[in-house]
Amino acid sequence: MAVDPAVPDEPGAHPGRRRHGASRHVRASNDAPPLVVRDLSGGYGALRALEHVDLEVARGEIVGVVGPSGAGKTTLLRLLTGQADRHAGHVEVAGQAIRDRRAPRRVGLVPQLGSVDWDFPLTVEQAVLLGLTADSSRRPWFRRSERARARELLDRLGLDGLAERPIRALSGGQRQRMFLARAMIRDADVLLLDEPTSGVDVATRAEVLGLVGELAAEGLAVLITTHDLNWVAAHLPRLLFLNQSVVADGPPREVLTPEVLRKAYEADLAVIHEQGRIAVVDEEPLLGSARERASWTG
Amino acid sequence: MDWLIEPLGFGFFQRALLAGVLVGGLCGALSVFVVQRRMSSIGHGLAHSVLGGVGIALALGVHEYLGAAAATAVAAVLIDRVGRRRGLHVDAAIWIVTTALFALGVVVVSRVEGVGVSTESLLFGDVLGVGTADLLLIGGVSGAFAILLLARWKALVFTTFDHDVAAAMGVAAGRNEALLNLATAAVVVASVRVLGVLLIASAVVLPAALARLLTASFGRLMAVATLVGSAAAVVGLYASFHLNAPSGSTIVLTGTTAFAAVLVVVAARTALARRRGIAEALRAP
Repeated sequence: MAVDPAVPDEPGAHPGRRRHGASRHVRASNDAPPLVVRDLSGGYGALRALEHVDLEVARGEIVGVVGPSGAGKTTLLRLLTGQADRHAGHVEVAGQAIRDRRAPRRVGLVPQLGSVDWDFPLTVEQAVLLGLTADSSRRPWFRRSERARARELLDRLGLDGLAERPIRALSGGQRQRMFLARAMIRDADVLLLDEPTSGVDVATRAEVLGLVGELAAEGLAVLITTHDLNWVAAHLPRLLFLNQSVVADGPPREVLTPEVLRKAYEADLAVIHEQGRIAVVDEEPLLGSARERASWTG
Repeated sequence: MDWLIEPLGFGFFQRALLAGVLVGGLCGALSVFVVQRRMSSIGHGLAHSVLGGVGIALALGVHEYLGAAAATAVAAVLIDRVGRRRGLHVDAAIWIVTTALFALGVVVVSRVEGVGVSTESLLFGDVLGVGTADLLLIGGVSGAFAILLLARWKALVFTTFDHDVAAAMGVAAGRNEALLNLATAAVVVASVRVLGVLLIASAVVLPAALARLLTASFGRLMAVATLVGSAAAVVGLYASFHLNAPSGSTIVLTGTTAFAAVLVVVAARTALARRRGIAEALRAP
């Protein structure tokens, strides 16, 4: 069923009215791209952190959002979830126009692990169920069907048997999985991951990306912000370089150039292509003489 | 059993017991949000501002609860405004604003003490002087807080756990925070008569801290903290009656003693389990 994109519908903003609405489980047409952003500018109050962003993410696509600190990566996620002020532009999620400062229903957010209070007294199942809060009844408890949905997602993400554990007992990878389950429990079309590589080990990164790849293969559009340029260059098919506006957007082989890197990071960086892989390194070694460096690297 | 039954023969003690159980439970339930939001200073600060409100109310000849409510509301707004200034943090704002109101209260109350207000009862509580108006206020705030919890439980928990993600997932997180701040101010005003300005801080922190030692579930935390708050009030009131000590102080000391006892037991159990684990690891082939 197609949905008229001209009709604003932000169910997350009106849980009470929507609860009994017939359209709650209606998905937008598969033809509509999950995420369309046109000439988006915004920030915090009068402060503009990002401007003129155009972006379209198709089903199954994973986009790495990169750029220096303060480039607007987090602001982009906040604009897409209604947490920053939109100064201009247009956002559509699954064919539905999203008004400023409204949280779109079909967008799931996975926050940075470091921003979470892991001592908070919640079990894994309770943390996942909280993702349903805006759509759930006003009763203080969740319905049996909602709990079943949470269990199903936990099983699917390899957390079966951990539902009753306190969240603090989970490992880094399990914590990411739990938040993926919370983001998906509202039938998200778009998944936003804020710095999933920050503060996690190499194995956890691989585990998270594997899961995200599986979810994208099922039709989700995924946006991942990260500072880890080489990680996204090695694994993601599309990169969006930001520095207050879009510097470049495309596959790594096209956009990973010294010119783009200079424009984005205002630094001289070199790009190495070897055996079909791309890596970004500093233009010049930062420490030691040539002989010393040779002795370090063998 | 005389020590248990005898105080109940006095009307003032019956009223005190009812007020104590309600205030203890109310502060206990609120303490879960105060502690989990890491806003332990807010209860202390708002309680201090109450004194300023009461002083001004007495000077103007209006009911002291009106002054207390107005002062906490003004304090909450000023804390928000001052805390938003660049380079200042909320904790600095809390103390700047509320100690100023406290100081204002001390000056005004000392000037109008002739009208029958005891600075001591404001500072340390006077649960034995609880009247019908106090009970009505405490009952009304308890009922309103219970309704708030029942109607918005999931949203309040999500907002407390992760404000930004809750907002990003369609929860009115800003409104929930405002409601919790309003509830904190109302609970502080309703509790002043029983606990006193200087002792409220303990009642809105300690029950959750004690409960947190015993459970890792938010729902159970709320239940245990509410029970702990009420139980501390009952035991503290009896202690106050028999020892002829200020009731607010005996209630707080009862809670603190229970917290210390639970802390020691939990620490001992943890140490024992660790020792047992090491012994088993050493025995393993």
